[in-house]
Amino acid sequence: MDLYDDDGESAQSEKVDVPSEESTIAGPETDIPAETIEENVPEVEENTLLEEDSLVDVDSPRPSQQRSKPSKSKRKRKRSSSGESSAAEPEIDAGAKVKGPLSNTNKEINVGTEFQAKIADLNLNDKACNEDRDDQDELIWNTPETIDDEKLEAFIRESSDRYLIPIDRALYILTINNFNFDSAIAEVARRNELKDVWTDQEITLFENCYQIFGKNFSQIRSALCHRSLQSIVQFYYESKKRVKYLNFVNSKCDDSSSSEETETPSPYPEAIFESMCDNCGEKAENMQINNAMNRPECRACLIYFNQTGVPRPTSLRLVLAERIRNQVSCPDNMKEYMKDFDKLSAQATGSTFQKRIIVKDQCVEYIIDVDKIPSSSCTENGNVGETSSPSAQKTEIQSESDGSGPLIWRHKKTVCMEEIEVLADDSRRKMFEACQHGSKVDIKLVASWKNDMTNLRKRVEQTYYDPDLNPTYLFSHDRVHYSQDWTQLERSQVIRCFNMYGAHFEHIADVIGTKTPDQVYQFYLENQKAIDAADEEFLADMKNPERLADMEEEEDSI
Amino acid sequence: MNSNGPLMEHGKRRVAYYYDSNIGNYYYGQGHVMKPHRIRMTHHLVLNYGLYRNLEIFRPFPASFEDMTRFHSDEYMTFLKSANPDNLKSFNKQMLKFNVGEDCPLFDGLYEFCQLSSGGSLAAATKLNKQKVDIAINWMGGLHHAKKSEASGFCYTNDIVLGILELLKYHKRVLYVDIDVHHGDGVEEAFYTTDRVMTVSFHKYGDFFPGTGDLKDIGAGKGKLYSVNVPLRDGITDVSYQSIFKPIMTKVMERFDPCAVVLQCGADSLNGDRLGPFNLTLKGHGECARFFRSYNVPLMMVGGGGYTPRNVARCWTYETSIAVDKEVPNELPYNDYFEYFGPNYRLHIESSNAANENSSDMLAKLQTDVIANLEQLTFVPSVQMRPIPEDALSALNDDSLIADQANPDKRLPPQITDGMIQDDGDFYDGEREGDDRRNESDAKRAAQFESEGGEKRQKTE
Repeated sequence: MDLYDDDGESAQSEKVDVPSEESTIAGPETDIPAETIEENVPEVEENTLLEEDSLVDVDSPRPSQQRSKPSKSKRKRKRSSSGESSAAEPEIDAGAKVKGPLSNTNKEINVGTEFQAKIADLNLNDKACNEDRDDQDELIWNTPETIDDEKLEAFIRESSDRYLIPIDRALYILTINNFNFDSAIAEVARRNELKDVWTDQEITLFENCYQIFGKNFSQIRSALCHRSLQSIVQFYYESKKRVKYLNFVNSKCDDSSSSEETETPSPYPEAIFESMCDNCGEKAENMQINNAMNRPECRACLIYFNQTGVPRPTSLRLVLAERIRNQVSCPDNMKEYMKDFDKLSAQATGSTFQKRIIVKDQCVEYIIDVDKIPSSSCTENGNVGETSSPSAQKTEIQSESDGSGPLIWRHKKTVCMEEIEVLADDSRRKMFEACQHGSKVDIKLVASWKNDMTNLRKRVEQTYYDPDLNPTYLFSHDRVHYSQDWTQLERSQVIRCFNMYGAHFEHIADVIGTKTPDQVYQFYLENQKAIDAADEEFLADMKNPERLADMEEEEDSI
Repeated sequence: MNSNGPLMEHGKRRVAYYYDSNIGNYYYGQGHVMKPHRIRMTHHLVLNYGLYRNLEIFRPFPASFEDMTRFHSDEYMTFLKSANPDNLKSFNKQMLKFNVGEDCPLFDGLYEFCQLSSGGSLAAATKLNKQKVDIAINWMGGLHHAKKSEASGFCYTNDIVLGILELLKYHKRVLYVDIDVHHGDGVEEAFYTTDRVMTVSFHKYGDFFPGTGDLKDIGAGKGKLYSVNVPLRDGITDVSYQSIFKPIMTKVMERFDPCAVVLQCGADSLNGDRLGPFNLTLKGHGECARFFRSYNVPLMMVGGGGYTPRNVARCWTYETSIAVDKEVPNELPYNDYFEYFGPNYRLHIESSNAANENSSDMLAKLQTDVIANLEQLTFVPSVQMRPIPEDALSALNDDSLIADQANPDKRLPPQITDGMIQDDGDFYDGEREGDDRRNESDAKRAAQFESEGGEKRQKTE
């Protein structure tokens, strides 16, 4: 009865809260006393949090599934660790709201009549034991002493293998037949047992439901209406050894049981949203236990508590958008490109044009005039020819610029835009100069260039000329500088050539290079005696035995 | 009557085995580690090993509402009976109050599951009270975390407390031993202030569920010193476990001298369990059962935790074989769930090379502290004596009274003379027919005369 009263109170409190929300949403137009506003503010916040949670859950099925996963993992973790206190703490908060008694959550053994068992008095009368209560069991099997083990084993094997009856059931049949093997096996054979056979359609339906619901056998049972839950569980365990159900699991599917919970917002959010921080009320991922206050808190609240020893104020909570805004910073690899951002973003003042490098023969006005020339005018200027003069060009440019239209309105320039214009203008000017310069050609200079290139080509071709294989007289048309005077070096060389070549004057001239065959002949006529003497001396040296021995030694060494 | 060491059994030990085939068809929920299917796997393994030849197999009746409210509150049992996943929304406050919904989910058939679990333990206790069996096994039970008005740790109704309450009707003192990796807080809390039940728990302590079970928790009121807690660390091995278990339990049996023992064989203290960090093997875990079997005390073995179903089935099958004192081969027999025991299909499991954080110094100090507490116990507490009413027709059972009141001139009735054994040193004429001393046809009598004659001659000389 008290429980119903609590329900009524909670319902009434909900009704009271609704109009205050509406009035708050209306805005400043509503006249509300200051006291009323102060009182209602925390309640509104709480309701807003609840609504936000419910809205998030309703919009997308994804968060509801995500919430179910940590609860499952936390369930295991709680069993393995001391998670009892973390689960119990929300119960205290919920209990405070419900105003009902709750179990003590201390890690202690509780003492009191509410916790200890009431022990009945000892009954020393032994005979009363048999009369107190009947046996609460039914005998399935009791091995008699006179039974034949071999027959028993054969009976069990035949019953279980041939008639597919479980062993304990076969033993029971043997017991009720007073351990008569013949009558027992007859009854086993005659027994028409109602077996739990699954048809192919049912098996297919089970596997399809398993893909959707996983091991939620209550949901699978809704599809297999004629099957009991126990039959479904038993079939699962028997088929598990053949079918690998892990391949069926599709974790992306939504679990409808959890969606049912989210549809109706629970009055005790702490009991359901286990990942919410007890201090700031926000959902957090890294929940840790605050040992001093014995409750789960998020990492930020825990750090604040460790530093200051006081729970973290709720005013320090940051919405996710605020955290993103405060934390966003320029990446390191992009900082280099952002150095001059402020400077380039400033408004243009025209100083860039004045700072540009001006050519010696040009003035600012000339450059400004060139800026307005269309690109087609360059071709016309190129065709003018060499005779055009700079003053004439300037006159033509001015006449063309008068025909152009007015300037188009623009946004305010930045320094960046101005520098871009300067670069474009410089590039156009250089192209114009290149076109102008290209039209002037010096024919004489070109001819001299051609002549030089021809000479270079000839030298390259003559590099591979072998003078020993080609006599000089084949190129008699070449001009060679010959002198009438005979130097001392030339004289000794000619004499040695006579020793080698005899009276062949062309070969000797070719070898010396600086004398014509006629000059060599004249030299021979004038110095015939000296040449003959040198020849005889040369022959005498060749016949000398000592020289021959030296030559043989050289050949041996080689 | 109690023997402190293993002796050869003078008689066959009667073992009762409680099982209901429906217990395996309940399912806690998707992703939940508690699987009642492990009990069915155990049963199939026990039968296919042929252990039924040494067992008395019983199917227990489900416990009734009145049976379960002998410990649990009416409000709590009404909630368990009424709530199911369909009407979940109307029980939000009760779920918070009774701690149902997270570790202990509401699943279809929850109340029937509690009935079967508690019914098995109640039937086992009743059978022990009637002294029809010596050992009773209920692997369906062992849910030791449930409180009087609260579910806890995958447990809803505490079948152990219900069984002990039944045993206390005809047994003065009951010893409860818990070798689950979690502390048996539900049973300890239920009997925290009584001296008729001693609770001993060997468990992991320190940032582990349920968080209770410190060495200093020794009971309150009349139950002071009757709660024994042995907190252990991770990675305890068989040798370490028995080095702390046997000395403490020997002392407990000596000082407390229980009339009945309840052993909770939670298998999550094995190596390879999904939740437990201990490093026991089947031999180390089964040695605890063998220890209590060596005492000639009524023993009830219940299940408990265990979250790797194939190892749970191995462990409880091995302990069933210990109870019936029959060796089982290491090769598993083929059964309906043979594929679950891959990849090696053997009975015994290996211990891992995890670090044992229980040093011998720590265990020695722990043992010293526990035994110091046990030494302070008053020896063998008893219940206030009450007058025993006289039995009707008691004279019929007293043979000596009949012999004394008999008329010496008449021959004794045959039910008296059939039980008489003639003393060899008796020289007087007896009532036995044909006792004619003068004829001396009895060779036995003649031999005695010769020996007596020899003695007289020696005295004469």
